[in-house]
This record gives sequence, C-alpha cells and structure tokens, in this order.
Amino acid sequence: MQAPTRESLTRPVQFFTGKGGVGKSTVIAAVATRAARAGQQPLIVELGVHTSSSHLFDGPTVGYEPVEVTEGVHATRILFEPALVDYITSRLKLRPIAKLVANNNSLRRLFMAAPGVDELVTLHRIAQLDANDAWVPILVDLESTGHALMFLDLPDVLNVFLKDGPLRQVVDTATQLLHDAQRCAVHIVTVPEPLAVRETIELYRGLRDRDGIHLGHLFINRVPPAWLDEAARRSIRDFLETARADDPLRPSLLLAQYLGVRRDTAEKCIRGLRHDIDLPTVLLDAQDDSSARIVQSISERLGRVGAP
Amino acid sequence: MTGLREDCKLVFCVGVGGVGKTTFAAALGLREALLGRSVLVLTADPAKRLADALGMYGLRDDPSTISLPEGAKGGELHAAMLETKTSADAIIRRAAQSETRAQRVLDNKIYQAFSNTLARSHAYAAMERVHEAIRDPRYELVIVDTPPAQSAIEILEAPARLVRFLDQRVVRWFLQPVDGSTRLRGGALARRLLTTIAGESLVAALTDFLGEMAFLREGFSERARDVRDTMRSSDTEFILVSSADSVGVEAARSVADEVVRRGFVLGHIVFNRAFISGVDVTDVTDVGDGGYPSALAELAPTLERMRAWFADEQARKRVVIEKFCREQGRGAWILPEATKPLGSRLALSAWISAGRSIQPPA
Repeated sequence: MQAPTRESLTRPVQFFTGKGGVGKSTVIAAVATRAARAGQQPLIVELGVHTSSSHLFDGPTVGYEPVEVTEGVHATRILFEPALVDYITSRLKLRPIAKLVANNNSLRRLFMAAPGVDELVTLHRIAQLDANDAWVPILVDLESTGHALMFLDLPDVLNVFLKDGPLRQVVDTATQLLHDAQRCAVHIVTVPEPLAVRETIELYRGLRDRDGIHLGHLFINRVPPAWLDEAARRSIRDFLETARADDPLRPSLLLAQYLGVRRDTAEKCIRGLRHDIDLPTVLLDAQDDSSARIVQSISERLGRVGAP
Repeated sequence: MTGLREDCKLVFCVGVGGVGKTTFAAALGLREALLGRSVLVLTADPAKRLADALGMYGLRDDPSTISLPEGAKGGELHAAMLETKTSADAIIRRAAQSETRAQRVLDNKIYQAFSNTLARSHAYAAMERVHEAIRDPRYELVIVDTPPAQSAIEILEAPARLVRFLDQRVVRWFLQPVDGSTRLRGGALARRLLTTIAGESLVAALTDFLGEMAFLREGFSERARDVRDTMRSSDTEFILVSSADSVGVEAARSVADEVVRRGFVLGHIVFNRAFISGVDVTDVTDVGDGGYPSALAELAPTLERMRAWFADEQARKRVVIEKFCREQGRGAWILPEATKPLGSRLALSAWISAGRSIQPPA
C-alpha cells in the first residue's frame, strides 16, 4: 500500500467492507448524512438483493435509479439486469436494441450463467455513476470479506484473458479508479468481538498486500459503554461473595458483572485491532435500536474525527 | 429447543452475514450428531469461520472427522470447507474421464481465472458438492452453511441457471461456425452481437472454453436439475438465521422472501443473541435507589441505569422477534448471546442446548 495522499474520508469514491452484521450500512449512512450536511451530493451504492438504506432512513424503496432516501442523501442498488442493459447500451448506443439483446433468450441464458458478468456490469455501473459527476462522494457497500476480496481482485483476474475490446476498457477504467489514491479509498468496518477481530485482521492484511488498493479508515462499531470503574466492580464482587443466594439484588449485580465482562472483551479486541491494523481508527459507541438515532449519533461522532 | 424433523436430510442455513450462521450450522451439526445421526457440515463461506466454531485449526475441501465429546450416542460429525478451485478441479477430473481432456480444461485460462475467484463459480462448485454429499451413504444429514445473503442467493439460483444455460441449443450456438441451418444462422448473429458487446478476444476465448467443456454438459445439467429438485423436496429444510434487532430483521425478511420466491420451504427461524443465558430480565427487578445496601449506595444510580438499559434492550428484542414471527406465521428458536468464546465442542453444545423454542403466534 502506498501512503494515503488525501484524507480518505474526503475522496470521491469510497468502498466499505468488513464481516457481515457489523453495521457497514449504518456507518455508510452516517458518512452520507455528514456529507449531505457539508453541502455535497452523496450517493450510497448497494449491491445485490437487499437494501438497508431504505430502512435506515425510513425512506422510499431503493431500486436501480438513484432515489433520495433522506434530505440530500441518494441511494441506488446495482441490480444485475438493468446494469447489464446499461452496459450493452454503452456498446450498441441504442437502448431499445440493447434491451432486445439483453432479452434474447440465448444471450440471456449466457449472461445469467457466465461467471464474471455480474462483477463486470457492476464495475461498469460504478464507473458510470462516477463519470456522471452528479454524485460526490459515492459510497459503495461491499459485501462481507470473502466476496469483497473477490470483487477487488476482479480486474487482475480478468487481465489474464481480456487483452483488448470493450470489456478491457471497463476493467481499465475500474482499475484506474481503484488504484487512484486521490479518488478512491477502501474502509474497513468491524465490531469489538473476538470472532470479528481475527477475520478483520485477515481482511486488512489481504487488502494491504494487494497492489494499488488504498486503505482508508478502520471503523470499530458498537463499542459497549464502560459503566463501572475497577473500584465499583470490586465492591460488586465483594457484595456478591457474601450475599445470600436469594438476595433480590443478585440478578442486577450479575447483570452488572456481565456487562463489565462485555466491556473488557471489547477493550481487549480494540487493543488487538489497533496493534495489528495500522489505519486511522474511528470508535463508534454501542447504540440502541432506533436506526435514525444510530445514524444521527454516528454522523455527529464522525464530525469530531478531524475530517472536514 | 426442539430438534430437526427426523426425516430431514438436507439443511440450508441462510441469512445475512454476521448473524452467527456458521456457528449455528456447526452447533446444529454437533447436536444432531450427539443425538446419534451421521452428519456432514459443509461450509460454502469463503471466510474460515466453521473451523473456528468447531475449535479446529483449519478445514479442507476433504471432509474431516470431528471427534465427539463423551456421551455421544453413536453419531458422527464431519465437516468440510468448500474450496472452489479444489472442488472445481475434482469435478472436471471426474467428468472428463480422460487425463488429457481434463488437463486441457485445467490449463484453459478462462477456467483458471474463474475457477477460484468469482461468486458464480463458487456457487456452481457448491452445488456440485451438495449433490455429491447428499448421495454419500456415510451421511444421514447434510447441513450447508451458505455464504452471506447475495452469494447465498447465487447458490440457490445456480442449479436453475445452469440447467437453462446448458440447454444444448444455447451452447451449440457459440460452438458451431455458420452452416446452412436457420438456427445456426441465428447463432452467428448472436455471436456477432456478443462480439460487439464483449470484444473479439473474449468471445473467441469463451468459444474455446465452451468447446473444451462440452463433455461436461450432459452430466452437469442433470446434476443441477437433481440438486434443484432436492432443494425443493420435503426432506430439505431452509433455516433462516437472524439477529434480534430491527435492522437485522429487515435483512432477514428479504432473505426469507427470496427463499420462498424460489419455491423452497422455509422451515425454522433462528434468532441469535436473543437473550443472555443466566441473566433473566424478569429476575432483574426494579429495586429503586433506596433498595441498595450502604456498600453499594454510591453505585445505585449507575446500577439502576444499567438495569433499565438492559430491560430496554431485552424488550426491544422481544418486540422484534414477536413481530417477525407473527408476520411469518411461525415460531422460532432463540439462542443466547455467547458469554464465553464458542471455540470448543463442549461450549458449542452448551450454547445450542440453552436455546429455547418460541411458539407460533396464535
């Protein structure tokens, strides 16, 4: 990895990856909220069948055409079929003909079955959105680790046999974008839990060792609160040692102890992550379940991390 | 927690990433093995979590046998991690029936590029492995841990897509030069279009590739159809694993819709981290600031805040679970938050045993 040359949270195209379930979509929603408040035109790009941004912003359903999910924030979902038609249109120039081709029974079966078609038309669509200049920043929600690596590797994989032709151009455009330290960053999102730590460190190493990938921030999401200091925890331990088994306070104190263990585990995980991952780190507090509040509070928290 | 139906032979664990699907698949496999069945847990997830969950250092494409704790009733537990390239190579060698023919495919650049990197290749290889496993007399139950959402959908789609694509006519289009027949002239036109869209060199490489792979067609397509039929049969159960929060359930709902839309039967819903074992919210009563002894008086406000916070969290989880069960018209299994690392067979077995069943809504 080369040294980042521009604060990574201000680059026009940002990828977010990490183990599933760590709150990538929430972090992205918060980054987008913050960009919109700064007067930018952020676009959240989701891949695949599911949209989180509709739910997170309590906004309209997100489809292929960008829609405004909350004030100033747009979102799009790259669906295979319209992305394919977009790609074919870019080659044949006429959309009605492109639709005919995409719907031709035999070609269609080929497109649906051939490996790589998904990834290629997705890359093409991302490049197209980027070229459009209407959207800054573009925030791409990459799927969980294994597939994110596959996706970022695609240009190299395709280099082997795409010597020329239009798909070569798609790959070249995507490679240029991915490798441009001024324009692109890959952020990692994780949570301070033991299972996530190892996978995150592996992901980080995998990304770091890939030429031309520019890593941005490490987001550690859902850090549980530190309720009690050491002295308080000692008093609780002492009390429990002598308390009767049916003491009505016992369950509350066991709970307090457990929440203390949860915090200890998280701190240990954060130390491990910081030790092995050499990236600027953003810690985000554990939140309650209201998505609007989560986004709001993360975006406020982000406002304090030294990016404009 | 009630168990799987006894006649269930194939389980697909589906759900978005990070909900504990792999841990659940491992724990379910272990549990069924302890009940005396011979089980294979197959992970199709490119991340290496199944080995972790089973307390192993690593798993390979070949199934490993996992030793069972004391008290097992004669069951067996096997686990394997799908390595796309190894699986794909094995499939080619088996189907080619001749070393030279196999080697030509294995040397093909398109094959090499695709066999270990792309989601769809991964899905096809997974499909083949499932096909093989369900026919293997050593296993009475096969549990498939699918990769996160999108790729899981790919795996569910793979059989149907391949069956459609491998339809003789389609492949022949790209294999034959133009000759007199009308159908093949149509093929030539398709090829010209494809060249405009994808470029000369790719179409040439693809045609070569399909030529080399021609021998695979018959068997592959048949097996794809078999897997699709098995996936829809009554011996197969899809288990949806979800976290117990509103964002997670939104995601789980779209996975459930995808499963049902494809004609598969959703068997159970599992909510992971739904409660904390040993800390029952109903026991954690509101004692008020005055209820604390002097030794803890100073801590009373904090302890009260923690208690309220926990009660809120549990109440939110309960609302989310009940709402989803009502919507889906079925009950669920709820599993506790793991308070210790689950990287051992004993811990895993204790964790799933602490699970509870939630009755379907009246």
